[in-house]
Amino acid sequence: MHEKIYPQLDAYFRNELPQEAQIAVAEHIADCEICRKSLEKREETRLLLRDASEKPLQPAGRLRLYEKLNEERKKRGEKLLKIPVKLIAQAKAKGGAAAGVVGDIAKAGGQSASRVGERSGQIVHTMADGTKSVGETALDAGKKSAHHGKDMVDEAGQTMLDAGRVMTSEVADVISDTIEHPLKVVFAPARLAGKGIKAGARTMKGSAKIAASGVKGTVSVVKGGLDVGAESIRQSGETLGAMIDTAEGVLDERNKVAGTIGDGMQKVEEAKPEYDE
Amino acid sequence: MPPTDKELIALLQENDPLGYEILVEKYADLVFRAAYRVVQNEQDAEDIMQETFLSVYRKIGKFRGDSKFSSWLYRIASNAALDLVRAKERKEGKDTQLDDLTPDSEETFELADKESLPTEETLLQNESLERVREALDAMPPKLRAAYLLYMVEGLSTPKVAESLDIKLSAAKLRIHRARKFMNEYFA
Ligand SMILES: [Zn+2]
Repeated sequence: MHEKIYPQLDAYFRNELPQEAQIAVAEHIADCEICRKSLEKREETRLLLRDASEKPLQPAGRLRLYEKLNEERKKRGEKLLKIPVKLIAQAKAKGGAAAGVVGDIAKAGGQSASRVGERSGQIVHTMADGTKSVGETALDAGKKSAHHGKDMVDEAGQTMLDAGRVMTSEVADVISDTIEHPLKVVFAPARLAGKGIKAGARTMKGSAKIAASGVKGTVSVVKGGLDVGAESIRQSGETLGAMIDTAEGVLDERNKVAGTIGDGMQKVEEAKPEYDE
Repeated sequence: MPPTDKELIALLQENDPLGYEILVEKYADLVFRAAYRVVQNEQDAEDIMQETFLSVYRKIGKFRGDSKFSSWLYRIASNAALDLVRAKERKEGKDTQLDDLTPDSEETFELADKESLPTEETLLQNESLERVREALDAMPPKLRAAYLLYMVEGLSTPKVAESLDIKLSAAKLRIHRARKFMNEYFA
């Protein structure tokens, strides 16, 4: 019996056999482990292909469809569609989670920048110490170091300001847009999240820039050191070490911000709808 | 009780807003999936879904009920999706003529010979979701649409042909080429 049924499993699985044959196969597989396993594997394959090729329509996408249709109906002077309250709540839940993420990212970005600033301050300190101990001849190099250290702190501050400004002005854009187009209010949080991530990315880029400028400063210090002799080279080496620490710290901070963004995306993904009718 | 398709079509033909509300609730998922299956991109799939629903406005007057309403919607969506893919590929200068050619003699032979490819049972065993996603992404969209209708939705080849508005022989050829593609991808 098995030899006769087995070749029909494909057609059986696809529901393509005549009814009688379909029943015959069903009766056989009740007793046949091999055929059952084979059918299970087919179903596994089907589910794998399904999962690999599909994305569900998100509530926000369905909401935009309603809006699109209403836009068209409005143009034609037709009665508008009623958008289900439940759908708006679902779309909002995702948006709400996204808004929370903006806050998290901004916080992480701010903390990172302040830590980077702190470290830059430490470098200035190290450089200043160096300047003192090498004496008169090292003054020039020390000045350079201090100068670069200050630049770096400035740059760190400026970058943070930039990131902050980017976030505020873009967030403001979204808000004013929302006031003009009340329907967009539902999407505003999601858009803000987008901006937040962008601002976060800029902050990260800024951190990299700070690290780069730190290295640049170090090169100058080393150069200055060559001019003033072995002692100042030693000092420069210490400074270089401090700078490498900072560069590593910056990378570390960057990873932390990236982690926050990742966690945030997860939160948005898992957001549960709230019904606030 | 949810309305039947017949009642739904009557509402749509009268341009009753209720008809469109039911249409979105009942068919937005199907249309989005049909589009996504071809374009493999959320934004494009959403655009096509919107376009499909707007074209119901223009075309519902002509719908005579000689095919199932869901197949009719499906066809509009997948054709719009294939149009988009063709337009994109033309822009990129890719050759899309591939499966418009008639099968070569070897393929005719293979089509008749069911044993030429491994069965579905063994094809994707032990492949990860990510790898399968990559393979589907790399597959030409026309083949992908036919293949997934056949493999995932379990449509028969005549139904695949009807859904995509192509000849039965073209549907068979596309499914065959898609299976061959997967087979070679994971070889
Ligand atoms: Zn058996």
